[in-house]
Amino acid sequence: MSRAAAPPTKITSHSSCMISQDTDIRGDIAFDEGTIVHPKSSILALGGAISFGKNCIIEEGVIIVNRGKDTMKIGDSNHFMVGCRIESPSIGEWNTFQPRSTCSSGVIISDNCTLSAGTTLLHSLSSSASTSESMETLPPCTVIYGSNSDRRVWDGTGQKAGRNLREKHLEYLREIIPKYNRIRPNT
Amino acid sequence: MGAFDPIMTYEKGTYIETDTGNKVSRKATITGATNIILGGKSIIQTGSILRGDLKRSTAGQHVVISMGRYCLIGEGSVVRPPGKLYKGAFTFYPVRISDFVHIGSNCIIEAAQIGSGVEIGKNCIIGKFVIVKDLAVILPDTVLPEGAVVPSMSLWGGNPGKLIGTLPETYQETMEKKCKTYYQQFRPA
Repeated sequence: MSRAAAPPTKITSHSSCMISQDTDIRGDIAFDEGTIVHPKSSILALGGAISFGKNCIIEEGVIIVNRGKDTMKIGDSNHFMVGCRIESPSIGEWNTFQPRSTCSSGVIISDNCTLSAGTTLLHSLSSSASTSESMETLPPCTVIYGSNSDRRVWDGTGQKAGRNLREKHLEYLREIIPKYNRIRPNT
Repeated sequence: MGAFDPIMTYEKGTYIETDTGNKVSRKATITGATNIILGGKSIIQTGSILRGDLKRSTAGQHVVISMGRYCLIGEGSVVRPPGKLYKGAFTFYPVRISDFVHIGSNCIIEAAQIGSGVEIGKNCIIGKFVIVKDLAVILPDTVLPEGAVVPSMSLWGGNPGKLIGTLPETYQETMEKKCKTYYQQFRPA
């Protein structure tokens, strides 16, 4: 299968980013301050560009794809864990995508959401048929869980501790990643 | 699995065989190899990822991933140490895998400890700080949440993982035999 000429790769990154050499990065991609990309992840801007906010963590085996024409905006402090697949056109702040969670291109994710391990987030069909064509926005603090990918709302307990953990995690990764992995030179 | 099973072959040169009999695929991603211990006669298959670089925050030498004998890390599986806050600082904790452990293809393992004779089916997700005791079977496509403890001689499956049944008393011999046979059948073409 041959695709119409893919856009040339152009990586714009802040000087404090750490992007491993052993990653598959294609298309126009911008990383803001402090984002860490582990080896063996794929970030593919096949259509429009992808822009990352501050302090995101992208672990190994993560696939982030933008097939649409518009820029895919990813907010600050998101954590993409091992093997998750993201096609959502817009993502807010402080979301957690646990191992092997999948997020389809029909859903916009707001803030503080969690996709548990092995879940798939699709456009919910329960909403009226007339709006099923349009984008769905996942409300803040939604948790997707279990084998049927059910939804519930998080009451926000332990938010401060969770954020503290995320910050310390980043801080430690910044110290340890460059010791064992090759980092892409800044462009 | 018995002596009459067909042998599994790989192209010579795609795997590196060490002095102690470990077979490690050239296409496996192993970061921080100095922090990984393989007990011998273990197989690490193509496309798997072992994160030995995520070590403890205290100074000095640390073992990050330790594996016993006759282990198998299936194709595309990821083994990475779990991390948490300890006394206000973030640190990773080591992954200890004992002897005769089979991990199927495309698993994500963030366990703290996996006992001997454990079989983990394909596409499993084993959460952070999970403890799997000796001789347990985890069925394919199981998701074990953070901090779960799997007792000895039990059979687990589902999402979230639940106890489904128990194993026969002879299971230890069965599993040891199975792992040894697998190792012997897995050889260059």
